[in-house]
Amino acid sequence: MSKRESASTMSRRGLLKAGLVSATAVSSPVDVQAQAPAPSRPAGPTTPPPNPSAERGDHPEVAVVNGSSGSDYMADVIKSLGIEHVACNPGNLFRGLHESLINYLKIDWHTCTHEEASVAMATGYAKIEGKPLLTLAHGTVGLQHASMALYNAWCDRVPVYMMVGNTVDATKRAPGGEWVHSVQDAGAMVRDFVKWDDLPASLAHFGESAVRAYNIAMTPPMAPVLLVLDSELQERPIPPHEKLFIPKRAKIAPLVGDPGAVSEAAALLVNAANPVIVTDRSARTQAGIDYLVELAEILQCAVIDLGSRMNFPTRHLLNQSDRARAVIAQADVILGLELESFWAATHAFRDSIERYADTLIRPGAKLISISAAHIYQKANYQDFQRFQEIDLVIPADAEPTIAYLSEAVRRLVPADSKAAMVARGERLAASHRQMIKAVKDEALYGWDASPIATSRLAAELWEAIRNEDWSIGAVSSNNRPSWHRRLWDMTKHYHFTGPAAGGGEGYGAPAAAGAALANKKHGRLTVTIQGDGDLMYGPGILWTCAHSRLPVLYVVHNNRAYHQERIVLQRMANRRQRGIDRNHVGTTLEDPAIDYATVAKGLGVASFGPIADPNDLGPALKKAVAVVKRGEPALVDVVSQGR
Amino acid sequence: MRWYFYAIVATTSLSCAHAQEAVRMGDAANGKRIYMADGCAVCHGTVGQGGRGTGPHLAPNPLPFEAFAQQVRRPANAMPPYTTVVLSDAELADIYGYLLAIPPLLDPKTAAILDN
Repeated sequence: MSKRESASTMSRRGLLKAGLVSATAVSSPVDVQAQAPAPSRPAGPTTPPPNPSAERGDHPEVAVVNGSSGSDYMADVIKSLGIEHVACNPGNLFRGLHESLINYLKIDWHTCTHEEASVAMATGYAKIEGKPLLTLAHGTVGLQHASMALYNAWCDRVPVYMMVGNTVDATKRAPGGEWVHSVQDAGAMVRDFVKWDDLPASLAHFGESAVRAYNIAMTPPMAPVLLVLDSELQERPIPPHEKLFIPKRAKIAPLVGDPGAVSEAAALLVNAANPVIVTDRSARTQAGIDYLVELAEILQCAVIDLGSRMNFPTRHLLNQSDRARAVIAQADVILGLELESFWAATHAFRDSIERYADTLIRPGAKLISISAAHIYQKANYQDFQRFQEIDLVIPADAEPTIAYLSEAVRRLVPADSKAAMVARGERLAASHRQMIKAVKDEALYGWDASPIATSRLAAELWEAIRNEDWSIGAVSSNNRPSWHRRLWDMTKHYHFTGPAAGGGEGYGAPAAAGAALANKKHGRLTVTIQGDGDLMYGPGILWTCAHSRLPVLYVVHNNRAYHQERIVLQRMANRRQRGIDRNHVGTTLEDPAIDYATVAKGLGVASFGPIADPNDLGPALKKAVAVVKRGEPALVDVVSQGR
Repeated sequence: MRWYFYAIVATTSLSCAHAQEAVRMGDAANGKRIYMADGCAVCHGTVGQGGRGTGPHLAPNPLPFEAFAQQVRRPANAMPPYTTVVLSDAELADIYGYLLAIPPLLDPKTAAILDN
């Protein structure tokens, strides 16, 4: 029996499911004319036309939709994309899709207490799992709440897949709330920092745009996308005679650099005396790390990981991240991989009354940049950073391109230079060992201090989790660079996913929850070193973790301040010589000090602390890890030094 | 406990024209109070351990007083200057007294988890 023949004997949902099953292989037409509606399940519109009697109070019979509504089709399309979870705060303008997702699709749902949290959760999830979940919001107030988190995801090159509800037809809006929640062009508010958006006018249009949006989000440079869903389109029954199908999701080929340019880069690297690789966001998967290790080992060159992702093993002998300036100063060729700012990697900048910068690179050094950012940028928001003169730009996704670059380098390495390269590697290995010793020596400063030193916090946490399959789900932006990246043995791509790329606070806690959702499937233990200021933007995420049984350990770096802001305010007060004893005003979280363990307890999360004695920290972390290993969230409040 | 030290206050670079003239006793307890109140701890930590990206460690074993005072009054890096308008020479000396009072580093064996 052909698919077409089967249509005449199947219900609409069955048809859509049939289309769904084959959606990843072929497009699946659904001929609604072929349906023979059963008497008890009439097809076609059931919403009555405007009725003057209703306005007089003669209420018509409430219409019941027995067939499928538009949002059922939307749910089928969403499922065809491989989306497994929803994270969102509810909103009436997507009630149609909400109902379809929970009752028709029965998708895994995670209730968030703020739209910003839901998008940050989506960001943390995508960084671990490599694909998006679905997040939903009101087209106006919900998207306004979500916008900062979208900006973080944009700066972080993360595929966030977002839909918002809106009522386009003014005559269909209920008075009051639906008017203030409706907007002519919802996407306009965030168009500067989403890669693509659309307002589908029909279900067929939705199907195409949903798949198009997914493909665009997942093509490097990855970025958020937005679909605005008309509430009428969601809620209306599917019109008779409408042919619907689920468009096929494309396999997206790697975005590899031009072979000639890759060969040119390889020649520069092979012929350099001191080539250096600087990476920031080049590894989205384990393959990205493995490719980079291979390239570095062929070249026996220094690698500096700037840490917007986990790109290179922290204990690899070629890792020179903690002595970046010295290494860059000696380089004659610098290969930059997905750098947020090549300029920042090659300059020292002083934030003084007169700001000035010094170049770190020596004259004549050649710079190569491989980045998807060279393919696609926008103008308004300035996340593209300061211009850096580059000798060779390769517009490409670095992760797959590195593999081709390794092959090119391997072909070009002269046999008579291998001994020199080995010697270079040995020098770097010695420097790495010295670097690690210096880090450990540095960690001893303030080891027994109270408030607890951040080095002690990181060391005790490492001791508590190092024998587990662990993942740092996220860190808030002001924790970078930090002890966990300097002290811990990181080898996997999920060991570290980086901070809030847009510097928007309120990211760390929900992003860690999203990471925990992804890691849960793989049996990993998710931990995060959580800034207190960041947590206070949206502590409600702790309830989400409890409600959704997300196994995540929050270790609160509780320095009782917006510490970065306190530093820069103090700098300003010093410049103006107006006294330096009031910089706590507006920058601290004291009087009263916040008891995060009690906050967490109230939100249903097992908690420990506040802990100010460093000798109490290890035992508390051990207990908290035991909770998380049982599948529940836990929080340890650590009264900590500022940095 | 009060800690005392003798220091030659480096007034040459600062508000006075005559150099290396003052010898006084630093009050470690008062120095600690000022260190906390005037923001030293914000960047350098409460026991002078330093902060990654904010400031180097100051103690134990602080710089010689002259070098310390020079850095505070006319910093060589991103640190903002603390002139005598906001921090007197006496207060500076007291802060130095606090840094001198900070105990030496622990034996690394007491932090054995760092080797894991």
